[in-house]
Amino acid sequence: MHKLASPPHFYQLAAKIIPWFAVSALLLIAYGTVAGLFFAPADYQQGDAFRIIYVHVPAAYLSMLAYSVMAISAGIGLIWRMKLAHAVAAGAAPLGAWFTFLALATGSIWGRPMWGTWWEWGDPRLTSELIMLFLYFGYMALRAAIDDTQKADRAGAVLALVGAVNIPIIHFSVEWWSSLHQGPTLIREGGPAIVPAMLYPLLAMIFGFSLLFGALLLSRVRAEVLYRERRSRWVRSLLLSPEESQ
Amino acid sequence: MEMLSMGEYGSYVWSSYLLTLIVVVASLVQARRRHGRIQNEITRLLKIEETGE
Repeated sequence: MHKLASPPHFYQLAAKIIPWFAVSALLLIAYGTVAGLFFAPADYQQGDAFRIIYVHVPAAYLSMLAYSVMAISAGIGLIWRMKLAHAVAAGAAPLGAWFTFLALATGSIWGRPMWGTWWEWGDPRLTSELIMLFLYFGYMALRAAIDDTQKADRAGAVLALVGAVNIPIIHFSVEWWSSLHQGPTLIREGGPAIVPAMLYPLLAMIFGFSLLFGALLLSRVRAEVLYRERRSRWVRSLLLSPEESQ
Repeated sequence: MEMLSMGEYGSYVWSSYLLTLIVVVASLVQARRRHGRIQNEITRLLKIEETGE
């Protein structure tokens, strides 16, 4: 574990993992997109509009996964003073913001024909997801405002942990309060409420987007580690005499 | 052609997928650029240090 968390080791290892993640992500997403758009049967209630599920659900799932990664890493960094954990938290935030934006936008586009509105103020699912977007922005703005990396790490971690209360709220919002948003499709009592021809592309998309997130996160954390370690000997030898350090 | 029209929902379905493509490409480009920028900046600073300027 300590070797894994050592910055130079992480930096090299991540570079080797990223292409594998990226290629598997591409294959899964390609299958999921084609099967979801053209081979899954149209929904008996929603017609072809339901196909938005194949981009909306993975985006929404990643928006919450990224926050969980950010909050847990921030907590680990805060408690065990592990520098790599703070770098992971800092790397996850912009990705989470992108996918939260995507979940909100595709949800809005889906809501227009289904609910007759782009947006409903006060709807618990929509509002809690929007709050998460602001939490990401807040986290990034806070980090950007503090020059000292260690102080930025600690302040950001506190914000990330406090904001984590929003995660169960998003998840259970459709059960706790009445919402325009439909209930869960996959993780529910009695198993997934969806036929296999609709389900497999969705699972492929969720898994593919998770791998894509993994590749993006590793790439961002590499950049973060490089910056944080800029005064170290390994970064110096890596950048000034790359052939020797290989 | 009928398959591409997505019933009466073509504009909604296709705009969602287009937006997804844009976000995926943007996040990939952003992550790559950030790494490159940091790498160049540190290399520049290290070289200045080394030559003692």
